[in-house]
Amino acid sequence: MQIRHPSAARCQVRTSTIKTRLTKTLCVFFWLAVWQTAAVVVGQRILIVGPVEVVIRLFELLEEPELWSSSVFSTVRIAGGFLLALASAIVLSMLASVHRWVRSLVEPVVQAFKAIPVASIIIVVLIWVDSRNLSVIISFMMVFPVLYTNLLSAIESTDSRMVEMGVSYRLGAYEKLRLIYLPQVYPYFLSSSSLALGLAWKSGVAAEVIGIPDGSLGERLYDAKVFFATADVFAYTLLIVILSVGFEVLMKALIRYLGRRLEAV
Amino acid sequence: MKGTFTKHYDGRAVLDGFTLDIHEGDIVRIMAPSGGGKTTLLRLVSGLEENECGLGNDFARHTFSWVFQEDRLTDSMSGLSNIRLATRGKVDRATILCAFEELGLDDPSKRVDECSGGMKRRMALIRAMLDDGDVIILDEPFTGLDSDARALACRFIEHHRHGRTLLLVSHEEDVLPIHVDRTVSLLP
Repeated sequence: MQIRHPSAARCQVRTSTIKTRLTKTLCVFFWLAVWQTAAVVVGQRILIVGPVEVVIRLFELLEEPELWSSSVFSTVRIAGGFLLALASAIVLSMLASVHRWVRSLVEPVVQAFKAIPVASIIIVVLIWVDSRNLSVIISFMMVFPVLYTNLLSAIESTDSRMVEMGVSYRLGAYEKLRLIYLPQVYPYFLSSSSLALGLAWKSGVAAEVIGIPDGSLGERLYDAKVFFATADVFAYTLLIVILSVGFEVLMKALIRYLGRRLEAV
Repeated sequence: MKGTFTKHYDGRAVLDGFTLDIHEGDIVRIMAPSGGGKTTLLRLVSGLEENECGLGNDFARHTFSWVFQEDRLTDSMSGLSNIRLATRGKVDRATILCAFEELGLDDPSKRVDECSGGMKRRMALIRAMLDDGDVIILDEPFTGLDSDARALACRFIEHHRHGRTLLLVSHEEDVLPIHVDRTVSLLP
């Protein structure tokens, strides 16, 4: 039997990680090259612009203070919708796991949010509320079912043997939550939050493009489309992706930090 | 303390009017062949299973501290956190650290999922013994422990029992270095 030195094994793991990262980077560059080639081949800036031009245009746009305020406008509202959905999903999933009637009451709403097309909801909501707060409501409505359903199923799949341990040790609500429920729900919470964050941005911006609230990123995207400023459309899209990823990274770091705090007593 | 217990699973009687009659404060060893209803009896005694027998049950008014067949610890937490939370904060950190030392465990802050089976078993034992239940139930508490660890565990049990009733299930072939007041057999 061959015995390998631990440092050799570590070295192999490091080499494998570098290879994986290199492969991923090369794949990204491949698709960027395809995009750039397509832009050069088509040769019509109104149809498609290359990635280099998009980045340059984004830097130009970032010099405008209005773009920064539009970014804040949209981020605050979309993040607000997400956080509202998160808080509602946590409270309602906990209540629904205990009280059957809460589940029965919430279920039709969840199904309706899932089934009704986003565009219909946006139009209806526009009739009811000012377009300034449209993205809060739309991101809430899109994200809530995902978070609620995942959290409820996580609570329900809690190990019954651990629940029994809690009963036999006469644990109070706080101890049960810390020792039994949170550790089991946490992984579901992390993955569903990640999924829901992307959804919040997609639906929130879509709502802004339809509702055109003053001073939003959606309004800028709409204007760019109307004026056939394709480079601007791509640049705004890139900015939205950056904001979305940045917010996701921030939220995940916060959730992980809370998770670590929960593990310590 | 006396209770009569009946339990059926899928129409088959696992226990049928079995009476457990013991003195308060005794160490009682329960013996039966595999599948003979040892764990079922413990679950009935502690109220984790519904007793089908309508006769009086003195055990119902007691509280219990368990070592289950499985360790039932939260993997993502340390042994120390598991024990502090399960004992509802009533046991201070120093006492838990002392207990870890008594059982030859060195790192109370280590996450449970990084611990060996024997370490987890000892943590489950600490949790039960430091808890303030009137009756201590140990369902095969020595699984995965070598003879030295087993001896330490028995000494630990005697040290932390404080005169409480203890119901113990362990393999028939186990010779335990612990004084047993009574052995109850579930043989038909």
